[in-house]
Amino acid sequence: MKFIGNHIAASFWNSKVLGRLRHEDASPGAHITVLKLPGGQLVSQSDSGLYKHPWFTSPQWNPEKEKSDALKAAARAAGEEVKPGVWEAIVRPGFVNGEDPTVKQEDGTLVGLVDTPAIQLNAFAFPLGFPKFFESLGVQKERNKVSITGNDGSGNFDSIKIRIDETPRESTAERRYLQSCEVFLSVARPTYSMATQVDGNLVTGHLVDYTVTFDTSAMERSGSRARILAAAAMPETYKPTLQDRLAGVYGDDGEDRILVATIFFLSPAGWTPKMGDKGPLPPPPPNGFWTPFVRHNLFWNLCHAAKNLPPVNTKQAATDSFLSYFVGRYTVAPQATLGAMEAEGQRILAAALNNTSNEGKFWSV
Amino acid sequence: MIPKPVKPGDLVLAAWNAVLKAMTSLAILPGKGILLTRSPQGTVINSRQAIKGFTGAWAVTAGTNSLKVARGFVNAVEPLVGGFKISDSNAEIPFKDFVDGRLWVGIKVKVDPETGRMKEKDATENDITVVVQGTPKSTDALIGFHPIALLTQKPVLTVHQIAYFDYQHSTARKPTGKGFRHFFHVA
Repeated sequence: MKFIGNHIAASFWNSKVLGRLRHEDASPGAHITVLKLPGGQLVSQSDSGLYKHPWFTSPQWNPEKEKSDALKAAARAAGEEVKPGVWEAIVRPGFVNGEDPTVKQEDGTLVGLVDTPAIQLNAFAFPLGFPKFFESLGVQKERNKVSITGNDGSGNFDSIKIRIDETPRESTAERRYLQSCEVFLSVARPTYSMATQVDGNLVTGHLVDYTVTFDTSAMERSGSRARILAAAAMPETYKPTLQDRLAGVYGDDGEDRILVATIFFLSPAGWTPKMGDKGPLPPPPPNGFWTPFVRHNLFWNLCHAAKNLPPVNTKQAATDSFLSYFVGRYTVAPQATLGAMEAEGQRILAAALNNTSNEGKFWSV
Repeated sequence: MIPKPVKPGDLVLAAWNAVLKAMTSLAILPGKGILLTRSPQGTVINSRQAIKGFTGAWAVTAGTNSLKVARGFVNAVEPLVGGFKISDSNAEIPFKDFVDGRLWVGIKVKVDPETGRMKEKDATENDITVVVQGTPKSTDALIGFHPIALLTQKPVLTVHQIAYFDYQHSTARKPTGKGFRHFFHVA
């Protein structure tokens, strides 16, 4: 019996009414996720079955791990108590020349990416440029002062100085702070080092003797296998000018680098730096309450090669132009001729000296 | 959330309100990749995107002691294994003896010692094939090796796919004049 007077039988209610509700309760099947919300059941496709590219970087907060000395110093500088907990990144295996790059562990061992080593993130910086997306989340830079002056201070604006003082806007409940770090690949290779010997002769021209040698110190230091490193910003590669090369100044540390990903850390809303005696203190390293966002730069495996041509030691006789311009203007030629000679000299020198750079290339495979 | 079962004597109105609340929370909402079609008969849930993941060329599938490689091309030539094209169901490549727990599956291309070019017309297994070896490099300057997957032995046999595309192969003569440097570029 279902109804007794004005009453509904409990067994009927439980089997028919609640049974019908149970029937509507969604369960996730293959490649589906179901999120139970007060307003309904959100059914979505799962990413688990989808392709994930090499170098896919996942940041994770490790609350147990002791901070490195650098992180402890940064926390103290920010006026914070030093507590355990670090951000780490796991990079999905990618390959350079068929080998997975290594990550150096605290004990000095090198672990390949296929063994899923954690990369501890020890340095952060306020990103010089960041996606507009973060502005909508409360990250702000306010231009308090903009001053434009001529270099000579007299209103000559052929060349100008622009000064922009950027300081964070005053604290608001919605304001958030942003820090970032970069995960990058580094591959060691030989460098060239060049010494020049110039014998000047006003009548016959000049004799320039280069001695080019291989320097393999970067490879001896780091090995030939690619490595994954993390820093506040990936070191930029110094591009020497032709004159630098002629003078033997390279600034080439023997490392070819390529950015894997930039990890942005967004503070909780309303976060502000602590105040010190002289104004706001620098921000502390982000903790587990900050939200990570990853901007990937690499999506495929790579090959890497440097030219590695053996050095060619060449003696160059320069009778009227060529290298003479770069080693001193020992010439009695008219000014117009000198200009043409310089252009020709630049062209020849570029061809000669570009062969003394051993910078490598990465390409996707 | 489904309301708790009622007992004889429970108030109907309270139980009814719990049912109404549950009905709201059980409504199907479309999330990422989902398209709903509602009708008096019910709700149809459709997927808006293909579930199948990207695989690409050269996909390696490994058994306990042999593996298969999906179709791929170098200079528009499909490598041969055991007299079969690699995409043929009969083309199996045996492997054993891991070196430090690793083995590389790779494309092996032999080039002409004079021209540095691989044979493209009527190429044989001697000209282009897929092999398994303990290093990702070739020690013979006339043979180019391009890794397409890394096999690791521990904790379980795992295939780490490296190559996803067809390739063009080119060479540059070594400065010593003997042999070539080999380059594989995405075709």
